[in-house]
Amino acid sequence: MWFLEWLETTSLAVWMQSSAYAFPAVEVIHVLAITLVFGTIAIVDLRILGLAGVERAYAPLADDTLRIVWISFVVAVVTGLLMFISQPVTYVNNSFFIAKIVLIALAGVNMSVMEFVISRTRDTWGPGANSVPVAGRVCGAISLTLWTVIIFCGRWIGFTMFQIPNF
Amino acid sequence: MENFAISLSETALSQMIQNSTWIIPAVQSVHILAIGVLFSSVLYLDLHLLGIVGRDSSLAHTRDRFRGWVIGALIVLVATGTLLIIGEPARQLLSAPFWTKIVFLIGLVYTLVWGFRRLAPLEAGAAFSPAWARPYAFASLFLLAGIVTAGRLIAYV
Repeated sequence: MWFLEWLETTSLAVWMQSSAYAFPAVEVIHVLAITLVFGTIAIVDLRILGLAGVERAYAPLADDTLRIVWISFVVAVVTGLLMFISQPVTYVNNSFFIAKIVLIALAGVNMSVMEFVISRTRDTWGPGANSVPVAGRVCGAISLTLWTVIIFCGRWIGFTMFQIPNF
Repeated sequence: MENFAISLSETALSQMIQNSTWIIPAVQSVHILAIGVLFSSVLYLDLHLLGIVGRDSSLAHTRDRFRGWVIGALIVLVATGTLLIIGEPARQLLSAPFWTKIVFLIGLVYTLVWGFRRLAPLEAGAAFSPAWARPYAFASLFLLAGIVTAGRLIAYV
């Protein structure tokens, strides 16, 4: 807890708290980044599930798209951290914030299983709705579900952080 | 506009939304998911136009793969957006960022229609890197970012 209280006093945190434009600007970039994280992950997941883009083999599509996923994810994490340090103790006490972080971690585990275990045969997953093995499709479904719930949790943080609802 | 906002806020639907704790955040969340679909679709097509992604597939395929999602996402955005306006009429209709967002949205729809029209005759397998790719990509992404920015600023201004 003392670490969180210390974080709140750093000059970066104070800037986030006191500047009129810092928090809104960071939040806007965060929203742009998370919509891209969700949207690009959805492109890959929908391909895995055979619901979209099935004329294309899996590997080139995944390679193209996952680049964008990582870049947007990094931006989302950096902007998220900046918002976090403005009120660390309050965020840590918000159930939706905790839920969001836990779910993101789970999504990371799910993605690692997909990338490092199941994807060993990815070069054989050609065009067609059923080219991705069942295990991969389970990961894809879990991923899409988790990230949808993560977006909902994120929105609910804004509604539950303050006494007066901040939409 | 003020009178319209007031009378909207007195409708049964508006009252129901206002008195609920979960409808607005839920509708906003769906709104955000649809932005995700729109943003990633527009970005992906733009990147393929610029030759940065999709080298193994044809531009015609990318166009066809994303067109339905772009249209669907825009429909969901208008529907959820309408619900949000009905739920908080004054907050949207009397907001400068809100109207800025609408202007940008009209610009985006025009740009997307313009781009898809030019891509329409393209056949599978045809190579295509037009001179208008860069300005089109810039315009579509700038307008999209502008919509999202203005949308978020509704809460602050």
